[in-house]
Amino acid sequence: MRLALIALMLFAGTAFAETKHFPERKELCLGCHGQNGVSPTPQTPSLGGIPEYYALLQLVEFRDGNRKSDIMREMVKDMTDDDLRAAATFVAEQPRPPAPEDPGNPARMQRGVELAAKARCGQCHGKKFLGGEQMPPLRNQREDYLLKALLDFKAERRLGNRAAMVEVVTPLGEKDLADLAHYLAHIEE
Amino acid sequence: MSVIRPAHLGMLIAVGASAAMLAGSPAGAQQDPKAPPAVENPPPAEGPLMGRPETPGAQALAPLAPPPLVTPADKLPIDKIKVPDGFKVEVFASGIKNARTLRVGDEGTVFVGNWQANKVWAITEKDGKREAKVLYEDLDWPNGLAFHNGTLYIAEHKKISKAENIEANLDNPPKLVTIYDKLGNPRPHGWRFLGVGPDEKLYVSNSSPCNICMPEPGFGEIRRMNLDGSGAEAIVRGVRNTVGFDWNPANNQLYFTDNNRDWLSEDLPNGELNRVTEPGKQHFGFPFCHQGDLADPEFGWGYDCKDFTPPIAKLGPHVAPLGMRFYTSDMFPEKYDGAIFIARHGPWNRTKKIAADVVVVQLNDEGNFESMEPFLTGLIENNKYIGRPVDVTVMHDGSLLVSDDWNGAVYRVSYTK
Repeated sequence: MRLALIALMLFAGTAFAETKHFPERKELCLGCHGQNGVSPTPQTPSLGGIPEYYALLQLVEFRDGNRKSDIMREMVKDMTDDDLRAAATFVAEQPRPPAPEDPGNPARMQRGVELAAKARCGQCHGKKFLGGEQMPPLRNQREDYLLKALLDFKAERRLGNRAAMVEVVTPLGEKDLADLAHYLAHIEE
Repeated sequence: MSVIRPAHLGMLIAVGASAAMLAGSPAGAQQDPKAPPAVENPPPAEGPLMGRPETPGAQALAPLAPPPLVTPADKLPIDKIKVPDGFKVEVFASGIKNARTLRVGDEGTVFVGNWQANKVWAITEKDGKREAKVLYEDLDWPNGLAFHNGTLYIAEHKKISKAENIEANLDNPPKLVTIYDKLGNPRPHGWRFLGVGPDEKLYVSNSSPCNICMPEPGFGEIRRMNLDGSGAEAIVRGVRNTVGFDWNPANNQLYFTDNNRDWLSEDLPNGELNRVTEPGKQHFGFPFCHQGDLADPEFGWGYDCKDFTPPIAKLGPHVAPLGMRFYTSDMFPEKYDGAIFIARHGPWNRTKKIAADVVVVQLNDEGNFESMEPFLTGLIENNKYIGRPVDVTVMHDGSLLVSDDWNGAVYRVSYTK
């Protein structure tokens, strides 16, 4: 115990310079976020298809407390910069989620197409909603997580870069957001 | 399911036009200048992109996101920064994410505010050892800071609060007390700048929440109020987005920088340095007239630029002039006495990157612009920023501090004879 404390103190000077916690926590990540990039956990996003830059940005924001999530904060609060880099690389290696077998409610899917066009989601997130270098994918993400994210932006619980998403969702109602989430989650191959 | 958007139509037309031009060119004729490559999936022309022409060169531009992690002290571009002969630049603090507004307390504490990292930091020196610590966190865009008579004032997106006797309580900072909560929402340009004038009043920006629009009443202002938040009034109107002001010690007048609109052209309009000679009476042009002499192509119709107060200096196209400070200390050579240091963040809305520097502006005896020259440079490499200055302030010893939100650092510039 005492030895560990001394080791910790020695590490403090270079705390952000090497991988410390990520290797041993990798399985914990998968425990909630799921194997093969697909999350089985309510309100918890699938990680498949998220690019490295965006993953790193979110991990840093969780660690700094700018993006609120008690569980993510707990997971990353003592991670070094290199831990976060390694975690972001790991996230980017996950395969993107396949389309669900459920094709979705036809009326809601049609509403979703229209809402996505009106909100111009595809202009940043990609024509096929697969994201970009600094942009997360939306396609086949968990419906409940998409809705949670959209509602967090609407309530300004989450701001994101320059509050761009806050601006996008402000004119949309909660039913709109639910249909949008339903559509994005269920797009077929 | 495929939706054809105007953006794509515009690109098709542009491609068609250049193909036609090539087909009609006689053999051996001079080639057209190189065209920018087409953008596969242009982002929406909304928010900061509102007003963008749908051409490939414009579609390639967007506000720049800094690296997700702060730059470690040993990787900062300190060796690349250039200052005039006799000056020296060193790292004052590192690891301060999104380091922006700088203020110095009576006892020498350096307060650092930020926009997107939501914290206020305090940098202190004890027994020759410098320490940076988070003073307040979970704030909402605390870009505005002011220090006056022992009290730290913090302007967030919607409100101003204060912490009295802060320097005696850095280890256990008091709960912030809200004194004013009438700052505007929505978000765009909603990071504030704050200062206390020679009239012992608090000044705060409430910028226009758009690239170009007719702002609702109350926006596009600098407001003045008593130190307890009472008696707020607009002191400056027609501002687009100011993130820097200071008072000229020679005439006690307010001078402020203003960021001009995007997407008009690569080379227009200029960032502005403005001077307030009649508080409360002047309109500085937005959204009708930019840089004093350029009518807006939409909102300018029917207006005359002569009816608005022009800037005293044009600071360069899209350069994003931010923090500014009159130099009144005596460490620097005499020529800097009463001059203004201005941090130019560097444009995102321009293909060729410029500025990302600190310039020094000299005024004449009447308090108007005389000259501008570079002071701290070297932060552009291969047309990319390797640092972006945001604010400047003067320490008690007369040295100049410069914040860099790209790297999360503060630099100190000193002079030895």
